[in-house]
Amino acid sequence: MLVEKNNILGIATYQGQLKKSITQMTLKEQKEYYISAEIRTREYLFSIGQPVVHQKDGHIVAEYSDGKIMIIK
Amino acid sequence: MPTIYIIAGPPGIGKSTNAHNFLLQSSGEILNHDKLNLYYKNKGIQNYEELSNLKANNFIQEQLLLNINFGVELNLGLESHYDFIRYVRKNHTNYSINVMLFFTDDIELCLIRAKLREQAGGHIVEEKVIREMYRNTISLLRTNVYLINQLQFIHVDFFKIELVYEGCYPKHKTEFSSKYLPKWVKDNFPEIDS
Repeated sequence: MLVEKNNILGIATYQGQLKKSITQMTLKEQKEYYISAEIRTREYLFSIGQPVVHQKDGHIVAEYSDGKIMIIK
Repeated sequence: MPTIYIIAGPPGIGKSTNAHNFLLQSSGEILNHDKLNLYYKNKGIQNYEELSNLKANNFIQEQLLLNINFGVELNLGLESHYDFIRYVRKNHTNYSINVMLFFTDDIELCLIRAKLREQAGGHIVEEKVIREMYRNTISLLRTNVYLINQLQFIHVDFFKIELVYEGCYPKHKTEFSSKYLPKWVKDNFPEIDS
């Protein structure tokens, strides 16, 4: 078996984003934070070639980075 | 007291995609075992799962020896997944165990996302495995809740993803509870009030 230097940090690890807990945020801060988190999530999914799945006009759709929207259900 | 963060939930719920948005910067490094598997698989290593397990175990042992905060993604959809928590409870009694559970009332969400992830070249999880883990997750958590110090529930649906509960267990002391609790919390954790 191939054995290489034991360093998986960054390859398969990630870190938290929060400077303070969501529970300590005001409602306004929570709302703003969830919006920024959603943007980060979209960017992340698009960066790895995956679509964002959400509900639109009564359908479950997959939205791709090129703007293409596919109806799933 | 150092903390281990267990990022839990059925396949396709979005643990790897979203956990960083709910974790403090002080939570340390969080291991994504699926990503590690894929990394070695893409490098063309034949025994990639064996190497990945070895690296993951080394990572965990290093963090425990350093006595620092860290986390791992674990579905907690099978009884065997609790073996790791039992191991820590027994051998590293100084650690606090925090379970962050991502869950949904709609299993379709997990099935669709897992399928799309597979189509995009991500790891593959069979539908029956997703269904089994989805079915088991809550009852296993109830059975094993005595092993846990802190619980966080993240509700996921097609519109939003948000923290709905945070509290100390097993004594159950609520630190945060959403005004509107999802069905899966209300049905399975009646002790939690909105």
